[in-house]
Amino acid sequence: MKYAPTFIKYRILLACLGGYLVANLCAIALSKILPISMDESVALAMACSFLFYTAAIIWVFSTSTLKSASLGLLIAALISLVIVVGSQFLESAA
Amino acid sequence: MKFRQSMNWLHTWSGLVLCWLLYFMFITGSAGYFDHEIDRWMKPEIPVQQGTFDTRSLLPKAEERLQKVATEADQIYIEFPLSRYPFFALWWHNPKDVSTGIKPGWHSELLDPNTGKTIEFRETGGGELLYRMHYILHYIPKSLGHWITSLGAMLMFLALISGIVIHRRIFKDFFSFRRGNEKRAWRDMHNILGVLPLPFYLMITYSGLMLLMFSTMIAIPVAQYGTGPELRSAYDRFFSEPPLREASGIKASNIPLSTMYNSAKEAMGNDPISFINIHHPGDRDAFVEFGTPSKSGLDTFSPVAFDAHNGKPLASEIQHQHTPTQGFYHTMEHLHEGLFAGPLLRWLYFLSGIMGAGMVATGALLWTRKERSDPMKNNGNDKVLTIIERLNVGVIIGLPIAIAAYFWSNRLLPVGISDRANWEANSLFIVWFITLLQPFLNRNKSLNASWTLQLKIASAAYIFIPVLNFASSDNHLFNAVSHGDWVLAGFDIAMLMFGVCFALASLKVPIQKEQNYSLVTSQGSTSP
Repeated sequence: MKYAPTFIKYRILLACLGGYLVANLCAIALSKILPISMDESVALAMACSFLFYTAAIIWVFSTSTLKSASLGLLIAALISLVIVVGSQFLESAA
Repeated sequence: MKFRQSMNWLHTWSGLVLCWLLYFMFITGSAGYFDHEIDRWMKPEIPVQQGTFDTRSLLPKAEERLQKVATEADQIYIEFPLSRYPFFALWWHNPKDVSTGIKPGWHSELLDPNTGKTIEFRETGGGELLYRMHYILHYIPKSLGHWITSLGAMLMFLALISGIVIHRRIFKDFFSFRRGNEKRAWRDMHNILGVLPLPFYLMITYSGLMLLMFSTMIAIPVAQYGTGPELRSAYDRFFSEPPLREASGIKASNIPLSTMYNSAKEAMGNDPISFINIHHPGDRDAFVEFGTPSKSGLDTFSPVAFDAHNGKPLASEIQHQHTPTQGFYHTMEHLHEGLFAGPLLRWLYFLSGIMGAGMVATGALLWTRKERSDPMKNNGNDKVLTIIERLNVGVIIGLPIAIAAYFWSNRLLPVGISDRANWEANSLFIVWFITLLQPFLNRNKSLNASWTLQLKIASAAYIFIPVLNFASSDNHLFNAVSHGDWVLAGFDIAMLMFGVCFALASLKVPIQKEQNYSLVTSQGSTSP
């Protein structure tokens, strides 16, 4: 029997666009928290972003339901956003 | 169990969706490892070269020419013919200065190493154009090309990762090839081609993504630096390698190049000098770098620098230092481009790339065969599948034919026509279009007929390239071999070799009785 993930069209959309968004957000968050110079952390985060993208896509296609697939990305995006906003806040406070 | 199933699905589709693009990237990128060699062949006006040159004797020829053309230059670069780089080239950069009326920017000339005269060569895309196609494609804006090829690389990376996950017995797979069962032989072939150069695939795909990350992942630096001048300067900080020192603006006499050449030669032992890089000539802070091919590591050259005012060597501490991330980026870049590779490693790079093309091609063919034999799907899907099967022929064999056509057009197009380099590229794509159409034109015949026909055409197109070279230039195989010009001779020999491979593959096709079996036998010959 052939196996294919359910709701395949949505998953593809979620993986391509959502995954790209999450990869960017995670990388931006990473660039904020790395304890190295800004130039360095930005470049390193860019290099890592493709790993985040890969992980996000694998997550989207391997979870059993579309709901958990979307929820996973959403949580990753929210955590990243909290880090980005938090570091911005700390920066302006300092 | 389910995770592996989903990875199986992901492997199939991420590999398949852009498989023709990936095939194109693997083939043109592999050809790029021999860009200088291809360039050399496509500029037959450059005479056959006899062995290695004494660069010391070439220096006065370069200086004489530069005194005529590069009087106002603020940087001068002299390249000597050496190993796989067979050109004696001058480069000079003119500053932006309206008062002198001299054209600003970089200029270059090729010199005949025997006479010191400039060589007028035909306008050609050369190896450069072929190599650039694998990351900017053609006929579309550069940035769009970056995005499309990055998308391809991203899918390739996904296919590799999911491929690793689904192969539990990766080491065992590596040694199994079962001829008996046709579909299994297919799968084994795909596994062998996939697993054997796996580290190369991972490296080439990820470094490829990184090389274009300033296009595709631009949001990350933008989040930090905004889109204004700060982004630009961050970009410059990352990429620019500032010269050892800037010009002072004070004119001063510089000591002759030949004196510094001798000191450099002394400092480098017996290594041949492959380039001379003169910064701010005629300035008090002028300095000259001498480069020799690097013997170890991933660097292409190891330079030594001299103060051009007093002739003293410049301390290496002021050489530009990479930060760790820059170092990582440059290591990936060097690994990807393989400029440091000697002949043996270069061929290994090339073969790994061709195996990558083979992996993509066998994957695509394996899928069509699986679909054909799937009892659940013998209905509406057939038409699409037939189209894909026929397009596979035109992509897998047609692309090598089209690249041969690119070489043919280099000799057959009249030398004087305008836009000649573009017409060479047009020839490639026109021929590719025809090979894509061909399997649809004789629809009554079996698919085998198209495979055989295209393999035969490919074999003839490559085997006759040395003949074409013989007829259209003095740089033919006999002349090149008798003068020991192996860069030039190597091109013709490689073309013969590819032609023979295609011929052997085409002979294997009709032996199989079963229709469509040609799909199986053709994968050994996906080389251009």
